Amino acid sequence: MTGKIERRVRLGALEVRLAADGARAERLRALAMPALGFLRLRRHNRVPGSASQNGAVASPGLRLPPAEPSSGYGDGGPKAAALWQEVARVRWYHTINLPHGIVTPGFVDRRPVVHRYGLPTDLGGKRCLDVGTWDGFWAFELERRGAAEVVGLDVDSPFDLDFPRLEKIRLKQQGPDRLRTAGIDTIGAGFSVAHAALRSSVKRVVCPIYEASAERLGQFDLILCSEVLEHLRDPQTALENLFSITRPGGQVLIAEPYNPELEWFGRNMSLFVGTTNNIGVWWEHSSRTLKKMMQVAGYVNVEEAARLDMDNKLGHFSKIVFRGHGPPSEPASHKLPDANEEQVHS
Amino acid sequence: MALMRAKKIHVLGVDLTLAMDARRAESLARSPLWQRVGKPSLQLLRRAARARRGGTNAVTNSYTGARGVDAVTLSLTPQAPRVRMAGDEAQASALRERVKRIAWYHTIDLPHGVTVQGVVDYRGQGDWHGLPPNLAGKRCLDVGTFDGFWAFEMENRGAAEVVGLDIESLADMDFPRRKRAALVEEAMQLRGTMDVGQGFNLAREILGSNVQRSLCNVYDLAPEKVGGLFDVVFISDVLVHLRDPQTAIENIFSVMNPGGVFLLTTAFDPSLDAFDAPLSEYHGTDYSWVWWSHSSKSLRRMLEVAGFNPIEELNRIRAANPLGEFHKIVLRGGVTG
Repeated sequence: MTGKIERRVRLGALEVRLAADGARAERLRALAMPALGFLRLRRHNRVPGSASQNGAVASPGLRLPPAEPSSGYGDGGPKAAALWQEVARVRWYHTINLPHGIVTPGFVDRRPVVHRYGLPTDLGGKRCLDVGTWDGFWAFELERRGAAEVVGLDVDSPFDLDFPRLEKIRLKQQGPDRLRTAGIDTIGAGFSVAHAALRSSVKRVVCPIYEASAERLGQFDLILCSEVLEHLRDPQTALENLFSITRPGGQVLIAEPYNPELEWFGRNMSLFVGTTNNIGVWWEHSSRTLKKMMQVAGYVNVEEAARLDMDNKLGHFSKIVFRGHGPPSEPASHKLPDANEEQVHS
Repeated sequence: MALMRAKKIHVLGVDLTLAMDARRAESLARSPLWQRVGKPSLQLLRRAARARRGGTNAVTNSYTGARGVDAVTLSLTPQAPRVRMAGDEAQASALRERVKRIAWYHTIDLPHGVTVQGVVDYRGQGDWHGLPPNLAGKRCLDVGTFDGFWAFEMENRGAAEVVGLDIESLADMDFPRRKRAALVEEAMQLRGTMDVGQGFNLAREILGSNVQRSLCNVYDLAPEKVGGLFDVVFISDVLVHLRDPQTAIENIFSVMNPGGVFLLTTAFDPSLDAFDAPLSEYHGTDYSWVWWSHSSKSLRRMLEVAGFNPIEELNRIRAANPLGEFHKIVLRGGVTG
């Protein structure tokens, strides 16, 4: 039986794709044999594997590679060996410097770009929040900068992550093995190892961002939200919740991947991925969409703090950091806008 | 990897797709050569091809007489006016008095020759919106029923049971938290009331309808909230007013019977379909309480992620209402198993 034919030819800037089924394909083949022969000669011009990419830029995600053995056991001392025993048991997302020269083998390494996120060098006296803390890299960094109190917000159960409902059902059916291969079976394990090793006083609070509120968490002078919004179907509600826990005079840093292919539109474009790329990404936003969402949530003077080209083990992606300011600081009697209002997600 | 602008042409049974890097295509489209030579000659070719196929496939749509180009299947059979019975003039004027006090959203034909004039007039467009002609034995849900036009339409088509899902007040709409007060004020000025049930209740009474109005936000929709599953779920003109359409669509999937049909009609942005990716534009309720305009590709993917299969496009049209001109699409999602 003759199947479908599909051809893809690159003519300069133009890409021509041709598809036909069954009998039609057969007739076409007979008619166009010489031309097809010519095209076959030019096969090397075809774009490999670009059919299913949908213009997606590789984004950091939840599917983690197995932990690699580190190059060594830190400084080689007995304490380093003991710590490594614990470190090696965890599949790390963040690369973190621990005592005794041990470095966690993370999926991402943000150490080289820490200084580019626009974080204040001195956070003395500030109450800070790290949203989606995972192994805690950013929370520990906020603490290192002198914050009076740091809270790391995260979920414990993989079923509190924002997956499509059918995907959650599938995950439940497939059991623990599936969770293990997705790298989401032991959320928080890395945090507790690093937390103990660093003798940190960061508080890890388990609360989905859709449920974050001033009643549950109090308010903060600085909120850092890095690579979280792309994993949410509803980033707007998340940003509204963050605004409700931003202290008057406080600020937020939203550090998110953006899709550079959407920048030239001059419109608030977003690409709906719907997590179909298997790494839990719902949306690829343009920088304009992210900025507009922050403004709609209530943040004022939203400014671009940095644009970064970054890597993780899946590839290269672009990231933008926006700084937004909370409500203006006023006397204590000032009522915070709508902090108590009901949420969209019950 | 790059975002592509793609044009699919169907010639002699072969799908031919021309694709180009989106940014490059954009600058080419703006170039004088394309504007003066390429585009006019393409239009000429297209017109010639259409003439050869025999006439134009443009149809007039009764929204406000706007021309739709792609909706070849639109059938515009106006509903037969209800029979006027002799001596009902007194009843008619009494009814007109009651009708007058309500700000109607839907245009609905009531008995005694009374027609209420709403913001939108969908009379005779049930087929275009994908409703099966015969709904006998079916349990149907109309999401965002408002004055109930579509719920009554499904009842007229013989549905065994119809539930109209709605919110109690316009203040329950999905507004941004910070702009809620301002938008509630705006809605109040626009309609004079926040209540959305007055029209429904009156029409239901006058029509002697058995449609049940169920107060439940679509974000909270679940089988136990609406007394079980449905064979047909209909939603029209709601999706763009939601910040989180995915959750709404997933909730709808959760109330579908196996073998059921989901009919989705919504405004969309066909210009975004020119690209090879599911694009959406974020508006953040800047106008008309609209959160997003989606491409049909985004909408299809949302249905797909929620679990609908197969997903078909039934119709699309350029439409207009008093707020302006826009494009509409009708998608049908099936539930296998």
